[in-house]
Amino acid sequence: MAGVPYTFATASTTIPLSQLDSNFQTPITIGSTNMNLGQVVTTISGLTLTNVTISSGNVTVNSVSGNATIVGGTINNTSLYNVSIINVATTFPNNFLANSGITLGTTTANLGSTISTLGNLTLQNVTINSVSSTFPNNFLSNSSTTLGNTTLTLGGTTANLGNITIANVTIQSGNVTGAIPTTNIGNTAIIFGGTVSALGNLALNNVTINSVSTPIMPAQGGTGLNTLPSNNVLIGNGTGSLVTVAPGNNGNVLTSNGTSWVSVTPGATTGNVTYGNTTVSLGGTSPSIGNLTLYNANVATYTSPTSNYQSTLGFKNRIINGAMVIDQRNSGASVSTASGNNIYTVDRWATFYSQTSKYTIQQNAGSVTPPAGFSNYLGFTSSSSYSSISSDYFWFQQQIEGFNTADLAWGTANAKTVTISFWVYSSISGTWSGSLVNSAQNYSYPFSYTVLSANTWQQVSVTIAGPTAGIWIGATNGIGISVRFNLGCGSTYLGTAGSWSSNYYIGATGSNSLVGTNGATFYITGVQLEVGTNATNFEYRDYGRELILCQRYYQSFSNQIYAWQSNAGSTFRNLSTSFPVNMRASPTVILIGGIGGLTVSTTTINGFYANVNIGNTTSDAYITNYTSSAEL
Amino acid sequence: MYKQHKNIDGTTNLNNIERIIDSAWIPFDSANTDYQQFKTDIANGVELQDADGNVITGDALTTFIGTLA
Repeated sequence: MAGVPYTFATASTTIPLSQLDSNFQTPITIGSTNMNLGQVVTTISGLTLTNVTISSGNVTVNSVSGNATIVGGTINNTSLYNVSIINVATTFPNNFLANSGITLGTTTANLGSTISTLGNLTLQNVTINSVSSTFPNNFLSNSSTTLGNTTLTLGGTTANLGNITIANVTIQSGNVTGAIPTTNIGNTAIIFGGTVSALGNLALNNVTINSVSTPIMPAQGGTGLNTLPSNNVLIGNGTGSLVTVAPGNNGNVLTSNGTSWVSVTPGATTGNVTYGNTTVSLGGTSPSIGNLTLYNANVATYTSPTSNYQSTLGFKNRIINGAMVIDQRNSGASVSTASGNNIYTVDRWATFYSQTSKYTIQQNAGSVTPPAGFSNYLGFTSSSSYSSISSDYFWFQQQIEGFNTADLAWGTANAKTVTISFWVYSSISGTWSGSLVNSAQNYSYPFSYTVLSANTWQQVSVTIAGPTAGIWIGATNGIGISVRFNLGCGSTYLGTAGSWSSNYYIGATGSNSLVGTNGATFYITGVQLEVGTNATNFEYRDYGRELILCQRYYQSFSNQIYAWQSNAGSTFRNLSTSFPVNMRASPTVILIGGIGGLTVSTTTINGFYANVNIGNTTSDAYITNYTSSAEL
Repeated sequence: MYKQHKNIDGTTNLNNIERIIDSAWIPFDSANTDYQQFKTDIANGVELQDADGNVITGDALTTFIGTLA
């Protein structure tokens, strides 16, 4: 710098202002701004101030191009326009933001103010960590949610929830009111929150009882004991715990001392001994002995059975020809139902039908092997596929004579229970039915039974409590009981199975129909109706006895019977015969073969008498056959 | 149809009646089911002939029915 006597760089003292350029023409540069001493500079650019304190006055940063950055520090009483705040060290105090507004949903809020209500606001992915209290119902109204298959309106009242599974729920006492659904365990209704001390009619399978608080007493089916002594005999003790009797000495027998059972040396002559199911008092009198088989026994005195004795011999089975052995009318030939409305098949068995030619009947139809122990059966074969109308009837039956049912005391308070059993074989499995009917056909008991497998012999038994009502023929030759088997009756003749009714029913509602399926078969044999609650072995009577029983109701006689001349030279011939078996009633007689013109003049249960004017005095009069029928 | 017959002495046999369709002789026994059916039939108009083959009708039939047990 020419003319400058002082060099600033080497100045060691203060340079007086007079020594400086009096015109301050020598410029200096601050930042990117050149200035001359003595000039007034109002704008300095490109200048960085460090650790500058402006202690008073106002600082205005105005119309700054580019970015203005203030790092740290405090700016007081400053207006900022178009400022971007990159970061704040802490939250803005509410009062820093006062007088500013913000809109949430449809609600405009002032910053720094308190808002208690927001309207029309959709919140997404919101997590509510806590609320000060429960949501009032009206906060949630007009919304709905679905529990199970029930749609609930929030804020509304719902009485029922359907099809909802609630798991791991604890219902505390007092919090559940009103009708609470129950559930049944066994036949006990369980109420949630309630106390159950007993469960009834409950079957438990594969249950392991690890312990019981006390031994189960006899009244509950237990023994009342914790242990059962080895090899001891258990003795009943009323409702108390069972008592035991030890074996005692070798060879001892269990006998009674009149009060209890004791183990004693055999050969005692006093006390009680049990044979079969009867206790015999040694040296005393036993009222009865049951279920006992005696071998080589000498009976010193025999007293006939008392009135409650139920015979198992002779006529246990009230059904005659239940094995379908006797067939006097047809000798095993097929029987048509093409005419009439009732036909006898094998002896004592008749079929009735409202429509002809729907089935045929034959002893041993289809030639299947009868069940073991039987040689014959009665077979029905459907001839068409017929849908019965309500008034149709198709059935077969045996009517038991009143003399053979009077002891059942039906229609009285002493009516006896009976069991009907039979073997059945059908091409149609499922439910079949029949009924027991009184003679007036105004009291009946429909029963049903199930054929488990088609074309398989199966034994069926049905136990029927005797009716205490209804009119039942006593010891007469009328109809005691009709045992009927339904083959496809219409609804008029079908009732509820398993109970007595004052209506006339032939079968049970919902049972199979033979006539409904063309070619269907129904075979039956071994029919037995007996007193008691159990079906016992079929009473297979000898053939001769069975035939005699049948002949009380029908006889077919095949031998020539000649007439005699009542007076010498007379043209009249008289013919009479005695039946081999007295018949139930005076029978209807049909004369077959021989001469014609015979008039049956008298018929009784023992025989008949006929005569004819043969027109000459020399010819013989005779018949070759007759039938007599006195069926019920 | 049914038909009466005569006894040897010429009187009408009132012990039996013939069922013509199968020539069955039905005794007048109330326990006989064919006899029960016979009574029902003639009451319902089924033809009944006398021993000479004449159809019994009117009062004669009513009288006859009245004699049946």
